[in-house]
Amino acid sequence: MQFIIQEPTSELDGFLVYVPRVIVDLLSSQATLLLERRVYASEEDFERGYNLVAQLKGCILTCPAERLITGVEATARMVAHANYGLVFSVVSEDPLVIEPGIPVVPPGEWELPGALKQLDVANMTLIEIRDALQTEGAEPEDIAALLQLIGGLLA
Amino acid sequence: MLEKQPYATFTVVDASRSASRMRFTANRGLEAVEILEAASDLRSRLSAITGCVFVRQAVTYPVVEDEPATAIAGVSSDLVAVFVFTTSTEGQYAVVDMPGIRPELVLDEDYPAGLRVDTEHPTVVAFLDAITSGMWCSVFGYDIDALLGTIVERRV
Repeated sequence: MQFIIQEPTSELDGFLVYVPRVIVDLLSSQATLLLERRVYASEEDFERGYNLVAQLKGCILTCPAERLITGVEATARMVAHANYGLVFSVVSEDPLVIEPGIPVVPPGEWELPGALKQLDVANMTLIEIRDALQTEGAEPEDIAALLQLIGGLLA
Repeated sequence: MLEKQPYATFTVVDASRSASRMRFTANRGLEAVEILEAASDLRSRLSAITGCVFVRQAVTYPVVEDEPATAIAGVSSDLVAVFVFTTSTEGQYAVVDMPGIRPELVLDEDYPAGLRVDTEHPTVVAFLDAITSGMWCSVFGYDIDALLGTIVERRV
């Protein structure tokens, strides 16, 4: 049987697969067969197959699974901290233990004034200012107090 | 090194796609371009004799080591360093296998130990400089450009 290889539809038209370290060289070794012309139906299939297998061999060690997961978790913690004010701390370095765990769903309560909390507060304040300015007979002192409030928001 | 006589090889196939080869030895000392011209001429003459069709032609300049040195003890040709290169064209790659990698050139520190070639070792750097010099290309004819990655494989 000879293989027909279609053109990938995009650069990321593929799968992330966990390959145990102890067999990664054997797996890559077996793919060497796919660098040979005889296994492909045509020159075009050979060129596509060769380059895709070469790319696999060249990149197979570039992203250790642990580094990928650590990066994703770090990003999730930063988002949780920035948006919800969650505070994380390193409990131990080796093995790395960070607490609390990453929440599966957004927390209902804010621990610190994260970005979303601050936006909410600013939004409510602006509504109050708008309502106050629309009130008939607003005194200059009231307006000055409101301007001070706006200044505080902008600080 | 001992230079052997160069030769031209023609591969032909019959109607059932069964392949056969013809080999013609050339005079020593001929330039490649001379043998290529002579091979093309010979091929046209052979076409009038055989009913098979020509599918491949190669000219080989064999050079053999007349007194091979002894390989380093403990080094196995089944342990292969694989170098993958990008080329002058996006999406085109070149793979180079190097059997019997010396143990001291395999990185044994940092993850994943034992699976990568030390690409900063002077001997490896010298090889990489040569192969990316513009002289060598991929099997599809694209100039080898830069190292993409390495892996040390166990072959069976």
